[in-house]
Order: sequence, then structure tokens, then C-alpha cells
Amino acid sequence: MSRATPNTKWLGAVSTLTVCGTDVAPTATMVLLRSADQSPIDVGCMLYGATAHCVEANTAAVDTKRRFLVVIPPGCHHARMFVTRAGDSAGTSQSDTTAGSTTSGGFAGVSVIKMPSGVGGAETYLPAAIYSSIIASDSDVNDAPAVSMDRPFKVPETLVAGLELFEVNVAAGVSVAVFQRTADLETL
Amino acid sequence: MAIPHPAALVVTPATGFLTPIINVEPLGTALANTNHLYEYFTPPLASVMPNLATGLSRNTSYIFGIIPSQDGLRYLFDHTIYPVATGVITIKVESGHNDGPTVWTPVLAATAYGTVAGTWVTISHYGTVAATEDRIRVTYSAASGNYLPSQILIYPAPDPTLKPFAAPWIVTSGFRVYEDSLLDGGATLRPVTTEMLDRCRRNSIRVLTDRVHNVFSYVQEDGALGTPLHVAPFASLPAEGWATVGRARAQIGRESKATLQVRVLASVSAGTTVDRVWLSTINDEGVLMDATVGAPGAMVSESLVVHPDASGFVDFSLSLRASAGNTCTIHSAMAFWRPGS
Repeated sequence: MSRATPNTKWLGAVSTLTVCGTDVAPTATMVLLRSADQSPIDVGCMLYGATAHCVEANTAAVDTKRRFLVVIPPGCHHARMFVTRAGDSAGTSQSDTTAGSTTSGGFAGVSVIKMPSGVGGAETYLPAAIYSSIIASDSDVNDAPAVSMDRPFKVPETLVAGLELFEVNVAAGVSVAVFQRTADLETL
Repeated sequence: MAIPHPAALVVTPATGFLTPIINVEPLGTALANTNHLYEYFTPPLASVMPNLATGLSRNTSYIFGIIPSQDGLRYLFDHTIYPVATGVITIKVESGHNDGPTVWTPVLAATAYGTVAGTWVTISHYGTVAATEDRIRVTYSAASGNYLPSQILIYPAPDPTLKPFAAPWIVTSGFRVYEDSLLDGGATLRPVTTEMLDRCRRNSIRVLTDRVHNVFSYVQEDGALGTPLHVAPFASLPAEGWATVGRARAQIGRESKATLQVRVLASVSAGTTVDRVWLSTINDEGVLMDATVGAPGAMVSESLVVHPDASGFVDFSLSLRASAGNTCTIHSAMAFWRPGS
């Protein structure tokens, strides 16, 4: 038997504060006990909101390399980074966005995660947001790459929330969102 | 008599619910897990990455809105900094409420930390934030040369020696701690009541709804120590033209709808303060939702209903505009999600 990581939607679910309802002497069933046990697991393993950081780190006027910490909830093993790219002078190819994290192998060499850049359009970052795009790191897992490549970020897989340090270079916005959860919590 | 402080969630195997004999477990584990939630459920109260020019060597300060726990929790503050020089950086943190003037309370008195040139450092410290506070101010000073404050992260870190882990064993949010003699009297097992089963659910929901998640942030200097990076108007835009200064993607759990609380601090040099800031969202279905707030130099609150896609993603866009002959600056824009809303 196994216990899957819960995927609870909370809208409309938080007004129920009991498992026994209004029954003062409910039948002592395993369903009640299991429901009581599941509540802290549901909350403890929920995905924290992935913060959308607006930060200009993609031009010569600002520092292009930023590091930031993300709180990773229990029951996660891979995450993706979402990077906002802004336009540059027409016809110009910007630098690739590179990134890394502690658990993904660090911030140098083949561990660096590289998200390729397209050719920029007209300089449009401030006047017209429609020319900026949000790119995502790849979803194909490769935790032992032979070369620097586009791949997801491995994160600590535990039963307690923890911090993970990320780095991004050349971005106009960044967030990190978990996309793969632990299949069976009993294995942790 | 002891209050369990599980350092991690304890997952009772599914087989543990198959006709167990009368015993403390698995109910004791379920209740102890709620104690774990109180100590270790840590969504970000604030996660901000300041926008600023490169090579700043002067003092800088930032003010951004927060919605703290109603329990007056202790929080952990993590400052991730890239120092160019070996020396000292001094950090001061305050919490505040009200405008005209803001009442500031020290969270961290000005404290010096050592830095090594070219070496990233995360400086951590605790600080208690009262439930009545609605903003944080962080001030950095580095006499040794320029530095980059890359991120400020704040998340709950309750003190395990204070309530609810000490008398009166209950806190404002309604969380009531589990103490193991409720079930285990040594040689005598205590009777189980419906309240014990319900406490597993009630405690969990109390913690869940008491701690907001910061899902959007844009922060620049507050203007007290220097000019922020982005000040409208911008070249090539007419007066009253909207200029986008930030776009980023958030994930809001697996929700298909959520009502966010927005906190914006912006100011103008002169002229109208009405409808100067525009925070909008668009999901992959093309739904546009927005909240427009004024820029009076005071903290402005607004709510914003968003419709994340099937994976919980929402793309935010932040814009501002200046009136003719005047400037407009966003010092901070924050959005918070309270699960269930």
C-alpha cells in the first residue's frame, strides 16, 4: 500500500473545521481516523505559492546575476524555473539565460542549466510588455548531465520544508515552481 | 507530559489504519503532526528581489507590504547579498504600520556582518512581527564598497519555547497545541474524544489560513537614501502612457480561482495620484483581470481575483504612468494568497 502526495485545492475547503461534523458520538470508523490523520498531511505537503519576482537583471545597467532562496515544501523532487526575457535592439541575439541550484549540482561547469535565448526584437521592455516573453526550463529530468543543458532543477525530497538556493543570470523576472511530487510519501 | 516537536511530518503507513488495536497510535502521530505544522509550515511571508543599478556603494532602504500572522510570530529573515568588498555590511530591519507618519518598530537593530569580496553570502536572523504590522523596512549600509542585495526572504519560524508550546497552549489563530498525556497516561490509556479527531483538522486549517503566501513582488528603493531605478515617465512614451516595469509568472497551488490581497507603495512628484499603478494578470485562456490603485505615497490595499490555469500558473504584469510634467515611482508592489480565499 502507499500514500500519495496530496494535491488539495483549498478554495471552498477551509470552512470545514471538523472530521466528526455535528455528530457528538460518531461511529468509531477507520474512515474518521484516516480523515483526521490526512488533514496535517494535506496542509503540510501543499505547494507553497511560487513567488513571481519582478527584477531587472538583464542589461548592462544592472547586475545580471542574482541568487535567491526558495522554500521547498515536503514531498517534492523537481522544480522548473520561469524566466522573463525582455527585448533588446532589433536583430540582436541576447545572451542565454543560465541558472543553477545547490541540489542540482551547483553553479559552475556542466551543472549550469542553460535556457537558450532567441533573437531580440525592437527595444521594447519598458514601453510595451507584449514583446517580453516568459520561458521555462525544460521538463525532461537529467540529474547527471554530461554537458551544460536545459533541464529541471532537482530539489530536496524530504518530509519537512527546506530552503534551496538558486541562481539566474540574464532575466527580467524569475520564479521557481515545483512540478514533480513524491509518488509515495511512505518511501521518505 | 510532553509536547511533541516532530522535526518532520510522520507519515503513518496506509496499513496502519487496518484494524489497529486500541492504542495511542496512529491518532497520536496525527495530532503531533499538527504541532509540526505550527513550527515548520513556512510559506514565504515576503520574497523580494530589489531592482537597483549596478555598483551601488551607498546606503539603500526598501519598504514593502506584508500581511503577518495574527499570532505575532517569530520569522526568519534571509538576506542574500553579493559584496564586492571585504569588510562589513550593516543591516537594520523594522516593521511598521500607519501612514503620515509610519510607526516603526525595530525587528533587527543595526547589526554588522562580515563580508568577503566576491563571495555570495546569506545573512540570517530572527525577528518577531506583530499582527498589527503591515510593512517591513530594510536598510543596508556598507562602508567598504559596493554590494548587491539580491533577495530578502521572510518566512515563519515560531519560537518553540513560546505559546502555543507554553501556557496558555492556544493562540489567536485558534491553534491548540497537542500534549501527549491527552492520550497516553503511561499505564492507563486515556479515552478518545471527538475533539481529538477534530483537533487534527481544526489545527491544520488554522495554520493554513493564518499564513499568507507572497505570490508577486516588485521592490525598488523607498527614495529616502537615493533615487530608485525606474521612475516614470520613460523615453518614447507620452504623458499618461502606461509603461510596464515588471512581468513574471507565479504559481498559486492548484487553484482555479483565488482572491489575492495587493499592497502597493508608490509616489508622485506632483499632480494626480489616482490610477497610477496597474497590476494585471493573464492566464493561458486570455482572461485579463486587474486592480488599479492610486499613488499617494501611502500603502494602498486592493484585492485582485485571478484565474490560474490547470497547473496553477498566473502571469503578472506591473505598469505605471506619470501625469504631464510629473514623475511617478513604484517603491513596492506585493500580492498575497491566503489559501481558501
